[in-house]
Amino acid sequence: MTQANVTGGSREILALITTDEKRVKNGKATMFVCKDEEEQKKILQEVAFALNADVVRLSNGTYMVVKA
Amino acid sequence: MRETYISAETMALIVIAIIAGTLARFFTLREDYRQYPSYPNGYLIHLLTGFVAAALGAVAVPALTTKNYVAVTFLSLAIQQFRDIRRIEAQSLEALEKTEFTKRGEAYIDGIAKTFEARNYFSLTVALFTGTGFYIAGFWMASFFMRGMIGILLGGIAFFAIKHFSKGKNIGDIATVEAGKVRIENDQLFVDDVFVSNLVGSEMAQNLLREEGIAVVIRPRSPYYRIALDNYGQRQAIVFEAARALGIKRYSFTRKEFQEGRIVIALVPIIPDIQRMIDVVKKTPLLENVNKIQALMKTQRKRGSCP
Repeated sequence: MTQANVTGGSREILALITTDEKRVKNGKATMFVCKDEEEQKKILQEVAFALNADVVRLSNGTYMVVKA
Repeated sequence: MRETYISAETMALIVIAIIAGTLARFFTLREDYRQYPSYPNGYLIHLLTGFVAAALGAVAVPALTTKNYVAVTFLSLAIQQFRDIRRIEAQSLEALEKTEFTKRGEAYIDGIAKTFEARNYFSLTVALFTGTGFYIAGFWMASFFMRGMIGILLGGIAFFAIKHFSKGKNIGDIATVEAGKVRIENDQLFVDDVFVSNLVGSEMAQNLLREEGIAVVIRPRSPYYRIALDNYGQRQAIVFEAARALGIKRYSFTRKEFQEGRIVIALVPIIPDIQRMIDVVKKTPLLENVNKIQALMKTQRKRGSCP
């Protein structure tokens, strides 16, 4: 999980978890479309655990799972 | 006395010098407990290499006095051996990096390895001085005991001189360290008013940090010291020391604030003891490779602030 990343190297987006189907566009990261926020939070935690990754909440409500 | 046997005088010189040199290593070994040598076997290894270093220093004196000048070249062999010690220390610490939750970082490892090399020169130099003292005192007095005393005195002076010279500073000398308040705002982690990270999007992470997160704010005493504190390796070393003292349950963050040059370190510890964290951060050594700045070299150490 998150370690102090002092050298400031950049990270990689692993997955995006959203409730809005219209936001799904092509890209490298895997998209998860959920029906509501509750499901979104659940899926998010599961994906983050599985990938051993960190989570960023974007201001539009989409969650971004990034490489630790 | 037959030529093939070593004379009692030479024997006494070598033995006293070796003992003095090994003791020098022993005294310095006790001090760096915070850094690395692991207890039973690490100690043994370094005491023995200190003994070898002392032996080389001790034998150099009789070699010179019997006009065996070429024998001094084995001192270069000693240097080679000590450089190996530095290399091996660095290698073994680098290999351990993968097993630690928080990394020491290359800069810190380099500093530790360098210290180990330097400590062997302690042994060598102290043995050399003790032997020389013993030999020179022989011109005025016959008692081995008195000569030994003078040798040890000279060795002791050398020991304290080098020790004073090689002594490093630590974070507490150049900066103040205070507890900071951890808070979560808009899914982002703040300590006091400093933004630290937005990698805390999940509710679990936020709750963990809100309930158990602790943080310190390091504030440099002068703008000059910002240069040292901004160094990546230095910050990594601070995080490592804090993490090792408290244990890490999950997260560790560090962030530099640009206005005043404050450094923030936040983590979720296993032992939630903020005072201990402040102490450990203060005692983190200032790495040698960030220590070259002129203003830093002139800084007075505070008495008793570091072992």
